[in-house]
Amino acid sequence: MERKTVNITIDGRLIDVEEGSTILQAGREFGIHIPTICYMEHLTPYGGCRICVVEISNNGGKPFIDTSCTHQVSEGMVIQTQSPRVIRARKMLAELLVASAPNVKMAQDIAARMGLLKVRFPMEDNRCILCGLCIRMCYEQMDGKALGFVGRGMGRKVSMPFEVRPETCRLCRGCDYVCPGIIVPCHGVKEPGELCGRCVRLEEMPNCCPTGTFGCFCEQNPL
Amino acid sequence: MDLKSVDLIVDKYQEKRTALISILHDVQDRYKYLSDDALRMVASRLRMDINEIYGVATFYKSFTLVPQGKHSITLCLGTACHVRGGPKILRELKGLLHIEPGHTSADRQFSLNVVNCLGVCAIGPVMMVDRKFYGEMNSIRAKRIIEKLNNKRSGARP
Amino acid sequence: MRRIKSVKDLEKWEEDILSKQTRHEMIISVCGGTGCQAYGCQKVKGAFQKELTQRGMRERVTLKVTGCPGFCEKGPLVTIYPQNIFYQKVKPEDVREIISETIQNGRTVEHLLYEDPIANRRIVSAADIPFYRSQMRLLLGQNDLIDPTHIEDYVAVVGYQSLAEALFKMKPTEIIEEIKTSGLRGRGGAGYPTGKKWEDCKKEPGDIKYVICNCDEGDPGAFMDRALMEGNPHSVLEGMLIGAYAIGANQGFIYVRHEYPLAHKNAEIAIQQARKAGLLGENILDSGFDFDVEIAKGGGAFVCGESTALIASIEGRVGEPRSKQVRTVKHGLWGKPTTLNNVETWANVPLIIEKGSKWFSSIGTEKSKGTKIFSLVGQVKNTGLVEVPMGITLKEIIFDIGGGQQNGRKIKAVQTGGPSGGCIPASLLHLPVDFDSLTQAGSMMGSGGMIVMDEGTCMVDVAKYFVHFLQEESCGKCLPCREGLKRMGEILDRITEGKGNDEDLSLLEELAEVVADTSLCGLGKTAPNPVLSAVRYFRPEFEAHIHQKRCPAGVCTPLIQYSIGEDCTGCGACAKVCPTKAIEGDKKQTHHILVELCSKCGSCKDVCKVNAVMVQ
Repeated sequence: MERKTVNITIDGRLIDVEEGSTILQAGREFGIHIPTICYMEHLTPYGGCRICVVEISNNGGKPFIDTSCTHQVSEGMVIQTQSPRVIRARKMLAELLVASAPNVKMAQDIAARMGLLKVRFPMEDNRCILCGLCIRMCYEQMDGKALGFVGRGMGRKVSMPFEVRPETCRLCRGCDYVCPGIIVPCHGVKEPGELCGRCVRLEEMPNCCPTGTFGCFCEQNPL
Repeated sequence: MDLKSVDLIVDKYQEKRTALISILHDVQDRYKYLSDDALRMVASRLRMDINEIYGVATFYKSFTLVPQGKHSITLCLGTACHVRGGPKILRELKGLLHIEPGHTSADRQFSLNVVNCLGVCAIGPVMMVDRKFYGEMNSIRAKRIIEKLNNKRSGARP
Repeated sequence: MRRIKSVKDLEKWEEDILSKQTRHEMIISVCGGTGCQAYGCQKVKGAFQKELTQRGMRERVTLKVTGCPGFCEKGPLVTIYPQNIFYQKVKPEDVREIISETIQNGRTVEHLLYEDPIANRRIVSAADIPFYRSQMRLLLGQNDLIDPTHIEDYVAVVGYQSLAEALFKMKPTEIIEEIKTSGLRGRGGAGYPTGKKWEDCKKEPGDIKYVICNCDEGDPGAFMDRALMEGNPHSVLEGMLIGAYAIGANQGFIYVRHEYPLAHKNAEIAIQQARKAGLLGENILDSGFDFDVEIAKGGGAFVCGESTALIASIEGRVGEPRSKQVRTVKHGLWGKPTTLNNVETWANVPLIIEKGSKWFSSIGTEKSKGTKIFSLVGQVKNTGLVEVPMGITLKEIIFDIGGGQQNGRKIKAVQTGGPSGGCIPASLLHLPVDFDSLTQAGSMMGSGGMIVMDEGTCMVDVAKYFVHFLQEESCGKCLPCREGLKRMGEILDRITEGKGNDEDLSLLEELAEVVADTSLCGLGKTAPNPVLSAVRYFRPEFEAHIHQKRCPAGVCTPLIQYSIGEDCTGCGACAKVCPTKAIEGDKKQTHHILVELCSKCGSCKDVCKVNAVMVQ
């Protein structure tokens, strides 16, 4: 079966990629790294964190910025993944993220990769970065339909409907699995033979978990 | 709580998903707020996940999931009303009613809301009390209106 | 109500209505728009009804409640036809006088006429009032002749004749060509060429297509769409009918925001009457074309004015925008090709079909054709809706039509384009108003909101206001809009509290650039405009807040002080209303304010009759 391909230029390299793929997929196929947070393979791309932005120009038109995880390739597209405009944007996005959630390891990783040394905003301590991975995992892969976004704007958060765990939730812990906020920054090995310290998170629930509903997992099956 | 009215309202709109917001408004008008049970019932009638309906009910500002007070005071803080002194009136109302916008007073008499533009900008600042519009407001007039509503309630003579 | 089954039926209907109308001696039009409602026009209408009935005059005089003519500040508004006498600020007590003097004896009631403050004379007809004189009221002009709840009024002014023309004398491609040639561009703010949008939608394969009318008008300070939808809903319906026929759609939606209950009600009545008359539904006018419309209500979200969020809202979901790479003309409502246009855009369509694209393109400038309705509000003498040809300058709108400054304070800036636009300083008021000229100055024409600000407005406070507005209305999906606006708000809060520092302005500009670049939808992308334009033109004001901890306009509470000057008569009114008992003074002696107790509520300034309270 023939694959339809299109020719695009990415960071100066002319490549041909399968029609219908996104810029991110095309990049990954050719070893071009673009940082992501809210993207996960096999889940629908969301385009919420905006960290994967690239500079795009169609047929010599004015370059614009869009997220590579959602933007589909088309014939003759020219993409820059490391232009000054993109780097400036990613750095500021990283700074905003770290200022909001400094104790989320993913945020620290991205900030470090962007070369961020200073955060110029007052720091908060959110544990949920509203990436929506748990929601998409629950809906698309685990058919639990138990999580959703609630509210809007700065008050937006992840919650179970009516703040109560619905019957459709089977405690599969898929949400747990994909959450970038659950991985607690490593405090180092406490005693000989002890593992990475995940047990420490028993006291440190991410704040996407209302009234410790996720706590039922830990009580049932502590590490 | 008797939820028969919810069924009737959904029937009125022929179970149309496009009428979701209208349905929720009618339910809210009837019960003074959107209760968990009412939302669950609407979701089931419209074949929606409870997740989705909870998301919708918490997304739009016109919905409330807590019971509203007897009198609803809505102050417009659109740009035109803002430059004509809207924030001062808000301070006055907050002081008189002792509540923040989006809340109801302890005695359940007043709910205070702010909205971003009621579309009557030429006569701003505008305040809406129980669906009645008042134009060219200032802090003194706002105070008098609240006092009038209070006096009516307790039957006290001014 | 008769059922119209052909073009001939329609023409006969118009004839019958007109002949019935000439039998009446006079028409009294009372404006029923939301503005006049707030001023008590219902009581005025009731008074007219009572008087006319008592005097047995109901047969000779028609009493109508009509759409908004746009001069809301002078409401309640009453116009008497055929003499075209315009009465303003009419109270129920005045009704008796109007009837005996004007209706029965043909004399005008002087004190109810508009008084021209410059020429110092009373003006009889609306057309001669400076506010209306320079306007070209193609869309709003008929509002005070039409009762929106009576379809006959619309038919009487050639209503639905353009539809007949389009259905029987033009092919869909010809209609689209006509709209293209007219140069009509979207009136919702983006200014996309309407004809091209229709053409792109028509090209899409598929039997099911939709047309949508965007009546979400969320820009604070704008109410053009409200007046059109409340006052003349049939003009919008006719436009949608013609557009649907052109692109091949059979179903339409009108999305009315929750805060416009009267617009919703009048649109619903109009739809029902159009259905009864056979102008909506199956086989309209015996042309074989089917089309019907449903109203979808908004829930209270500014973001739902954005087309993809609006479509999500109609589908019964949260109003979250999605990527614009997939165009709504290809995949819109429920994935079908959809044409979404603003209320004013649709209302222009019947006019263009009636009078031709050549006529339409003769109005306006080279790239911006036709008229535009603006809502002129804020600190200007005459506030209300203004319809003018494109290309007119800001100065003409604000001074010739608006009457210029109010309360003796100089005009400082005008904010255009709502939260997506910016502030234009007084020095640039010579700029023409059209789709492109204001963009270069850092603002945009937008949907038509025009808020005049004088020396009493603090531009830092205005920037802060818009950022807080957008924070409230952001859907919260993407990081730059949600977090970026939050941090911008924090910086502006600090500046207005006197806690600003040297790096604040550059940090604000850096943030603004990234928020504009990386946001998913128009709300975030244009969010920085009000802030950036305020900093661009009023940087000294920002610097005064930051370095001198001073608010030159006297607005930012933590930075100002109230005091009483020598004009004080010692009447004591201020002391009575002071909530913190911070004012002292003997009777007939100059009072003074105890700064430590002053809560800066401003009540004293509000009640002082001699303007002795000063703010620094």
